[in-house]
Amino acid sequence: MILLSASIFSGCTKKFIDRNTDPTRLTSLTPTDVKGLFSNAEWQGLALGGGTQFQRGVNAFADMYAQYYAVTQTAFASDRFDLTQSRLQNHWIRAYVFTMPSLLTIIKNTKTDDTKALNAIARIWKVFILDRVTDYYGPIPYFQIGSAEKSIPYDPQKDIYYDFFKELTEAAADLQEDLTRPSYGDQDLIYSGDNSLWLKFANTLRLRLAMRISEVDPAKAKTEAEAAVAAGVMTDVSDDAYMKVSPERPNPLGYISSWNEFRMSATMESLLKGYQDPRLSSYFQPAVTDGQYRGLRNGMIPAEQVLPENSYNNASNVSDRFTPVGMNTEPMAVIRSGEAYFLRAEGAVNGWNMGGTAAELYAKGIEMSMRTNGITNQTVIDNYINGTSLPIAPGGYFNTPALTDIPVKFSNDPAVQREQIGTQKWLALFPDGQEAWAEVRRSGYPKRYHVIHSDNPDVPASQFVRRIVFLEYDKDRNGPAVEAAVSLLGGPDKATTPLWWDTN
Amino acid sequence: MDLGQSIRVAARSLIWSCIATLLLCTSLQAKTYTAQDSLSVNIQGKNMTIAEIFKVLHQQTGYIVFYSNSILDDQERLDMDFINADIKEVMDFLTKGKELSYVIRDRFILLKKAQHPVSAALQPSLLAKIAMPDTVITGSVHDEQGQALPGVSVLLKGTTTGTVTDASGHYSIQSPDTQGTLVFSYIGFETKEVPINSQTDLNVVLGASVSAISQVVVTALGIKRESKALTYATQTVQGEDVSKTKDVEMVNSLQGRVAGLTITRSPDGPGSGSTVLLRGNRSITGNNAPLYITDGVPSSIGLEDGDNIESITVLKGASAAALYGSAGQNGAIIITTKKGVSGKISVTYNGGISFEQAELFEDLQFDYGQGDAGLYVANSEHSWGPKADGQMVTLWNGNSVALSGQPDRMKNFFRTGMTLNNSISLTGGTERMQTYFSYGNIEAQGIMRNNNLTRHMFNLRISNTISSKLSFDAKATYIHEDINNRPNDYAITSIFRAPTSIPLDQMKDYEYTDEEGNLKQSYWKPGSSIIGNPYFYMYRDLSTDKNNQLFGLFSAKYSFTSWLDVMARASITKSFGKGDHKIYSDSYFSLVGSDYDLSTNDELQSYIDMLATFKHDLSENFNLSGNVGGSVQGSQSASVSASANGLNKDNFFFMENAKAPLISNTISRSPQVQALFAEATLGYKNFLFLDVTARNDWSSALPQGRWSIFYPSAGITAIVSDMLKLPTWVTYGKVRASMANSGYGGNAYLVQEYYSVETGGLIVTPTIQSIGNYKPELTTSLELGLDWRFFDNRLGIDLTFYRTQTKNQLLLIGAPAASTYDQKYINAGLIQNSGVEMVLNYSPIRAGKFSWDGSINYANNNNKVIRLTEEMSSVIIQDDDVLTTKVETGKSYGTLYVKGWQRDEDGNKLVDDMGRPLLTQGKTVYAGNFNPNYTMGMYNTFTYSNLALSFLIEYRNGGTIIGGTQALLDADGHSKRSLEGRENGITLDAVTVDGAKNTKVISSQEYFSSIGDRKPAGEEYAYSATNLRLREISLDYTLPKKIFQRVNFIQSAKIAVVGRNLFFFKRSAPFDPDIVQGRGGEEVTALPFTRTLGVNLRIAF
Repeated sequence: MILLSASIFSGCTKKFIDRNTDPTRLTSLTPTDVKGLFSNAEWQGLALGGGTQFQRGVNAFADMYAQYYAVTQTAFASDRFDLTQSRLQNHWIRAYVFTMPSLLTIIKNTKTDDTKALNAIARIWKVFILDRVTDYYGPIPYFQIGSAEKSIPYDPQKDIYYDFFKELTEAAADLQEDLTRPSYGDQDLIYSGDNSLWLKFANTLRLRLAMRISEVDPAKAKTEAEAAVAAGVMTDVSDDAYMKVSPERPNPLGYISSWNEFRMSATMESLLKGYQDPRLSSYFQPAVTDGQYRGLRNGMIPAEQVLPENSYNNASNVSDRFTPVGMNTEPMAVIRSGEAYFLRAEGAVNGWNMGGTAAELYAKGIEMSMRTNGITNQTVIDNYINGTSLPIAPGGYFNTPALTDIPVKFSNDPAVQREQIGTQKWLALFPDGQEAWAEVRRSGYPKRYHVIHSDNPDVPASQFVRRIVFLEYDKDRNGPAVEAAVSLLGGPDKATTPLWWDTN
Repeated sequence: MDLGQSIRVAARSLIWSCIATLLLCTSLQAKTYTAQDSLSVNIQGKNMTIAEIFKVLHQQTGYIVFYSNSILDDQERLDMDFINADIKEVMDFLTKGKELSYVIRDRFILLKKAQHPVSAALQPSLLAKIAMPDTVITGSVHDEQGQALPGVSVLLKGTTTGTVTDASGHYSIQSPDTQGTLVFSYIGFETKEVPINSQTDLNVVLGASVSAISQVVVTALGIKRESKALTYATQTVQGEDVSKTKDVEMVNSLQGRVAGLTITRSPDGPGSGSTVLLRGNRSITGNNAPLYITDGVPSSIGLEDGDNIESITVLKGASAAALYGSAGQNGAIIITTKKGVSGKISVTYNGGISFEQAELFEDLQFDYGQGDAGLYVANSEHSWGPKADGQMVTLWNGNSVALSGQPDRMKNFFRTGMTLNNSISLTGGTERMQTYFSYGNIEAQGIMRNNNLTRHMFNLRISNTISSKLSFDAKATYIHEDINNRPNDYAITSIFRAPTSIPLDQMKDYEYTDEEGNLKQSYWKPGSSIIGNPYFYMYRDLSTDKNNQLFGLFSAKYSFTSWLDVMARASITKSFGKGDHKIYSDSYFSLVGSDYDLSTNDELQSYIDMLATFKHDLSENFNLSGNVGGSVQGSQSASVSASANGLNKDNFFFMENAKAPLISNTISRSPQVQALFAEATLGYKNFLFLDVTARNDWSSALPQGRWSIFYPSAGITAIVSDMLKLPTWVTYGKVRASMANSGYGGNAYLVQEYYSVETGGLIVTPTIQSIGNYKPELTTSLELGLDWRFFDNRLGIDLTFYRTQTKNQLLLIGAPAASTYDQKYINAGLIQNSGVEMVLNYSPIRAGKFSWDGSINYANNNNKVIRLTEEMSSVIIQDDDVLTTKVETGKSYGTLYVKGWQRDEDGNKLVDDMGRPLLTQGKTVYAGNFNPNYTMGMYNTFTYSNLALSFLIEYRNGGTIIGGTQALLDADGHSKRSLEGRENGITLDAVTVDGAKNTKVISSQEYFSSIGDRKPAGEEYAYSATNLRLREISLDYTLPKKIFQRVNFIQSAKIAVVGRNLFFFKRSAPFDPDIVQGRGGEEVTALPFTRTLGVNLRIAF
């Protein structure tokens, strides 16, 4: 009996490996599967894997600090500069844990000549995503991502940016050689595997990053920017990068906007209404209470948020296409040609060779932004470009004055030109709060209203958040590295310490 | 253990573990042995012991002989030569010349000391007296717990006139005069002589004779063992206690009754289960739940019919569960269900109704109405408005009402819950085959108006003795359960957070149709993401769950020889569930119109084992018994779900109507665990026992080639009272010690990493780093115990000291994100639980018809995290808006961190230059630890004649819990606390960052909305979980037998009135601390505390 059972049991372990293998998941990947990894990296990297994570990682912070919107949810304090760690960490996790492994796996497995394009596009996307991470924190783990060490060091932002340029240059060169070979096909949610568009994307991104360091490292910036423009950046709305959405993966902004937790900012209101901007109705919808477009001030405390004047029903939500109505169809903006023109316009003001005058490029930027937002009537566009009206004073509960006093019509004064370019680029970047916040910090434009209150003792209401502090989440797991990273900051680990490229 | 003992063990086990049904359901008339019942026996052998003879008798006839140790000489050898003999002949032969008599009833032979020389029975004069009785004396016999004792022999002293009590403990005896004495005797009880003294109604309570009998408990693998030989702590709750206080969750009936067992009710209404913990949390990120075993088979406790339970035995430590291996390292709860009994068909009905009422403990304010900043605002979600003095205001819906507080609103929103349960059981059979059938149903209406549960439970059990060597036991249960609208958080949160001045009847029109024909929620603040109209969320966020569970058990037992039995057992549990969830348009959750989810799941669990049982006498004083066996166990489930974000036609809930349904299916499998195990008990003179177990598991979850885990246990028990001559006031004394190892192989699929494929061909990389070659988690436990009883069993103490250490814990810890993993598995950690458990039994008063019996249990568990990992000294086990719960080296499991005040060096609270509180940005303030210091339960029963009053008082000392609801109510201005500074504002006793004393005034609303709300300063909301409550009170009345003399088909009837959770004597938290006993330590808008009152009726036919 005992022998019998012993033989029965020992024989059974033969099936153990099978029993301990999950039938619903994969243990290894084929070359085709690698393309599926890329879709994942696009979705996770740009949308943070969906609405809730996007709200926590991007909307509550970058979108508010860029002052596209103001918070109306009384339980959220991020608009009062509370860097709520449990929410912020989603931005970090989605990049490192959900996006990087896919990209690193692709990069490692596409070393042959016929996979050159796959490799190049993955590297471009890696730069795009990690730029967003470093522009939140400054130093981040970069060169040793994927290390098996217990502690993974943070790298200086300058080194990271220099490597971005190297990566983009190499990737562009590789793509140039391989423009027609099919790459990711339909698994590429952005360009459906069009290598030539990815080439323009790479160059435009290079231009963007060059402009970012233009104040801290002007020479490098000029070299990179001119090389990027010479290699061919986006020039038309047909080059615009948008990521496709679907019912399975709806637009995260659309997903979160029906909760009435944020509304158009007073900053937006002052500009869009002052310029009689045709994009107003394309970006926002009228308030429920009276059908007027209205913005709210950033940094209200709950006792102010709940007042009827400041309530979400009395302010503008995003337009239908950015609500659940459009969430299954409205694609997510990645980089668009309008921005490329504004970058070139600013480069021209800097005296760089950008293939046109600042005024021409500025006007082109506005035109492309109008067109990509569905405004195609050239007269309307031209009227706007030549508009002389000024931003309005939103008034309201806090008696808010006008944001600034510049019109759309391009000035002859380079100082005003910079503000005009910065302001128009900010309007054109909408709803990409991450890039907008980075550029607001670098250029100082558009101007922003000070928040009404700050909950963060490090950042008085008269100042702005300059960076996100290092995460408790990573201190818990990667303590020594985070400690060492503080010395790379050039200041204390506080929200007021500017990033390397932020010289304002 | 010799054969005689084994029969006695078997007999005792029947008496004790089956007493409620076995004898209850036997033929109810005191049936005497008659010739046509005779069975022939063949017994031939030389030098047979009495025990061997009884064993043969049992094998051939199914008759069991009951007798007390003291009356027979175990060593007497007899030569037997009976062929086709009548059983009576054999019994006569055995009792001949001894002072013994016997009674044969049904399948039992009661062997007892004759009260007088046997020969006297034959005196003709006495026989003549019997023929002419004068007086009829009736009455009933109960044990100390008030349980009726059937089968008690009642003898008129000095005569042969005798009878036996019936199923409900009643007897009727005829006596020639009124001055005689009745002798009540029953196996396992002290014999009692009661003078008649002209009474005709004599009720008697018999005390257990501890020295003469041992309790039998069902242990691991369904093995019945004598409790005196056990080397570890167990505690048994009888089925009647479970069915009397019938709860929809059967396990809740154990609350407060077992030392060291904590039960946390789910806050999700009927049918949502409970969390059960034995001796504290042991595993950091793994499973801490005990194992449930029903009739020897691992099971889920959720859907057990309380009326079918014979008994529940709780095996507390790893020692007890050593034979279950990995699954048993958190202890085990062993459920034995009822079996059929031979004899006349017997029917029992048990029915009850109970009512449940919600009670809110958070104090609300009704002085100020809806609004903000002191102004009435019809769209406000707060009660920061003007003084509510009855002035007329216009509500959001256009109606004019007087602004005044609505103190009864919470109470009226919830209804009185009602649970109706009915069960009927039927048992009967022949000597060879017995059947038990039961049907039970529960109809429960939760306190949420549309939350209800219906459960039907069928149970059929057939036990069959094919031959003297082969027997079968088969059981099938089918359970169907329907649960509608489990309370959803949003509805509950919405009523909690509604302004205290909005009348309930205004909320009741919770929806309207707009001009375009769309259904809209009627809410005072349209589109809010905070809350909504509570009625809308109650009636427009609907769910159904239907579960079906089919359980089949089959076991066969074959006796190879007199010393070896082999049992094989197989069981399967098949569950099929179906659920849907409808969310109407204009709700917070439905992004596009309305949402619909539909899912089904299908699960199969199987368990097969084989067990050989042997007994052997090694010598005169030494005997050996034990078991050897093996088992295979595993489960697999598959689910398919479809979910629709948006329907083409709104609020029309069919999948065909979905705009873009998302389909998903999953398959999950448990590891397969195969095991070989053995247990041996070496007994010396029946007072010293050595117990050794060994088990080897092969778990498919473990890394390749490392599948095997071996764990041994050993224990020793000494019955001191049998070994030494102790003072007479010591009735019984036992000491015990045991050590055990048990292991845990982890969940399936940990050894390698996987990529998942998602809709659209996306491939997702793993986020948890696998561990590859890991070691199984190992728990070592050490236990010492005492079980002493004094003063004729009037006082008893059962004391256990234990220490368990769990190492090699399979920890899921955070990884640096830059490693591209969010978490990783490591093998580390050492957690120690040590503590004391005590059960004190007492019977201080036993005076005639009145008696007082009770017990007190006490448990304290000291949890200490001795080591985590080299890299880290803390692991986060829960992190949300309110708190972070950690496991930290050197502290107890479960330290709570919350947001709190920023303070200066002297500990003063800081405010900003406007006088507003400065709070920490993160949850960095230590708030306490959620573990209790100790828990106690006191159970008392007062019996007077047919009436018994019992109550259970429970005390919990210590532990910190965080109240999220209070934080919301404060921020919203609904709480009484928020009245502070309403008129004149608040100047906080704090300093500014510059060190100056704060002089600024802030409004009450400003203050409370910054310390309260969804992410509160938890420091302000930390409460002690200490509480003293009346857990249960019941009044039982057994109807006098006389009532049924006309309706003679009713044998007995008992009515009980039961109240549960009636009130607290003491409580500091503004909510029921029970809700948070599990891992978290946090309460946020849970269903309110409820008290229950019910009536239960039990009738036997």
